[in-house]
Amino acid sequence: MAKSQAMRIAFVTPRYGAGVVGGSEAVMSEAAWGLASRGHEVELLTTCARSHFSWENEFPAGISHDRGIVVRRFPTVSAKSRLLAGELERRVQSSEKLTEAEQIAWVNGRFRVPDLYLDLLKCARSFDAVILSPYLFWSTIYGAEVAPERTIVMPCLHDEPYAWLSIVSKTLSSSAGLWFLSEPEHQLGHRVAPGMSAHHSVVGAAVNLPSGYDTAGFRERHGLTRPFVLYAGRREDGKGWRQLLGSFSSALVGSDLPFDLVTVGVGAPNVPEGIQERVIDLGFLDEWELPSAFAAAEAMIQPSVNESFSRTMMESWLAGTPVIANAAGEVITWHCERSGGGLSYNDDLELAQCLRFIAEAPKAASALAERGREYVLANYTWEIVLDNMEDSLGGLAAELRR
Amino acid sequence: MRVLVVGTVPPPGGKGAKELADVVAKRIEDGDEVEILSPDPRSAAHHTANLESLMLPLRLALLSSRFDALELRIETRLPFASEVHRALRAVTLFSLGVCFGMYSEVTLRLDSPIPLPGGVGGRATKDMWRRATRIIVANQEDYLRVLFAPGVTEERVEIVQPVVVEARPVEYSWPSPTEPDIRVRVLRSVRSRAEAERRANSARVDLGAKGIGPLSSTAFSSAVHVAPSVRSVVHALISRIVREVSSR
Repeated sequence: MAKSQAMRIAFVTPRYGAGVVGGSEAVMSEAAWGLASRGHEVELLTTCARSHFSWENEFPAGISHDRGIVVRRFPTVSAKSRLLAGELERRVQSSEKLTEAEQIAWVNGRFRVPDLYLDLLKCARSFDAVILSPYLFWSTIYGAEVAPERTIVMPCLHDEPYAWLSIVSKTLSSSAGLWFLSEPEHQLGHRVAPGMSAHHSVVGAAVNLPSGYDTAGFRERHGLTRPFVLYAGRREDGKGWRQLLGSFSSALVGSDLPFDLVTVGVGAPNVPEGIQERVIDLGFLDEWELPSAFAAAEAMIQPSVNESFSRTMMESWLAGTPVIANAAGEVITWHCERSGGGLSYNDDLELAQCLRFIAEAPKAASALAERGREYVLANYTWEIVLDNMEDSLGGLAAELRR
Repeated sequence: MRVLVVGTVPPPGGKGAKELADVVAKRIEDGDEVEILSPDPRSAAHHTANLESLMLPLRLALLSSRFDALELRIETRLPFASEVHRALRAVTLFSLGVCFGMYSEVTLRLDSPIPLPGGVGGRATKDMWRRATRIIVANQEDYLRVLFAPGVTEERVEIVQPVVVEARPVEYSWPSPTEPDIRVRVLRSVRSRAEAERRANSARVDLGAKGIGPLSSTAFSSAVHVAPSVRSVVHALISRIVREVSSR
């Protein structure tokens, strides 16, 4: 184990910086800061994009320094033919079999970062490890080709059509190492890429323990007068947002549930008429404000089945707030079962009953959340996760030296 | 057979309502054409109406031409609140007896304790008991009580336990915060309650309710009954009673 030996590490992530919402992006940046704080020399290569919808260049290109790391930004280039990109996206989503050429065209159809690739070509071998994430973007698929012997992919896999593309399997199989965030993701990795490197591990992800929570202040600042349940994340179909709106609406009908649904994050919430009074969108919250949102909520709902870790669940438990998760999500259900601290629902009726439990048995709900908190503190602090990452990096470095 | 079921069905009404919904579901399964008339406007019934006291026989009389059989659940507030004037009780029960004669088959279901103020007896009740093809009670105590009512014969009285209440009981209580397997206990309750809801919804579908989708709270809380004018109801009832009396 080369924990004490300082390494040069590159993190490659498609987005980084203020206003960026995404689990993989958050883990990558925090891991980069954490490893830098342990004495490693860390650079983070990213794009100038903030939005994963438009991929427009919003941040200036060039070099900057942030929390002990060097950040190098490269401009994105958008697809030549949006028509083709749209068509390929539709075919991937409907699980049609694409030729490899079509798959590459699909990857190129979202955004490309040629300058980042060229930079990697030039300097990748000056790093002990190049860590790329998540699996489905140009920066990872192309970036992993450059120096596979020192590449670690943190795929953040979900069981979705993209994961089963052969180029994904090839990327995972050809990389020197893989970092998974949870055991179900690890198992999925074996199914997606049976030939993946032996040098893979479940490193987990971590959340920071906030210095404090200001629940009363949070409510006051946002004019929240009624108890609420929270959805935090991207408001998009892939994250289960629309389904949650439907389920929440059903739960309210004919019931006296006292909760509003408060949502924080990015993406248009598109709340249907009829429940607009009960759904409150607070938009993107600053880093200092977000923990208080979790703490002020009566419960956090995680409707997304496309999670490789789910930071929001951890942040919620850490804040002493119970979690209600979609039972169809393998990873989030795994957390609920392992911790003994989360509830899961199979349909609208069960979600309604979970909410009823939160409303009718607040002490029991707090007891559940407490188990979740213990689980987070025992497994997902940066201390633990960075140790795991350093172990893996040390192993990779030793292999490279051989 | 075209059957009119009268009584509260879910969503309101608790266990008794669910039992009646189960009865209906069973009848539909057996091939009957069933419509439900409920006193509670929140019920997923085909018709809802005020059925207190004389309004019940009035409705039954009006609907009798459309149905072969009647299944009436005597429940709290159907047809009587806890107190009722003796005369009104007598007229209502007598009229019910008259109305029962308008159906070829009458099943009378009695909640327990039997919610008839003043008990099951009295001369006015004789036709009602006599014309009921089946009288269903919930327990031995009620069985014996009904046997002493005028016009009742033993072979028509049955003790029937709730029809389909499925094996798994619904866990309505939440576990205490100190329980070691709290998550498992909460989830058991969640699933159990949801399953009960699912059954109720399914019964609503079976009942031909117009879509089970989320009932809007506005529609759900509406208590407006649409009813024929009092004049026409009274007219119909009087003509029925006259016909009944003259045929004796």
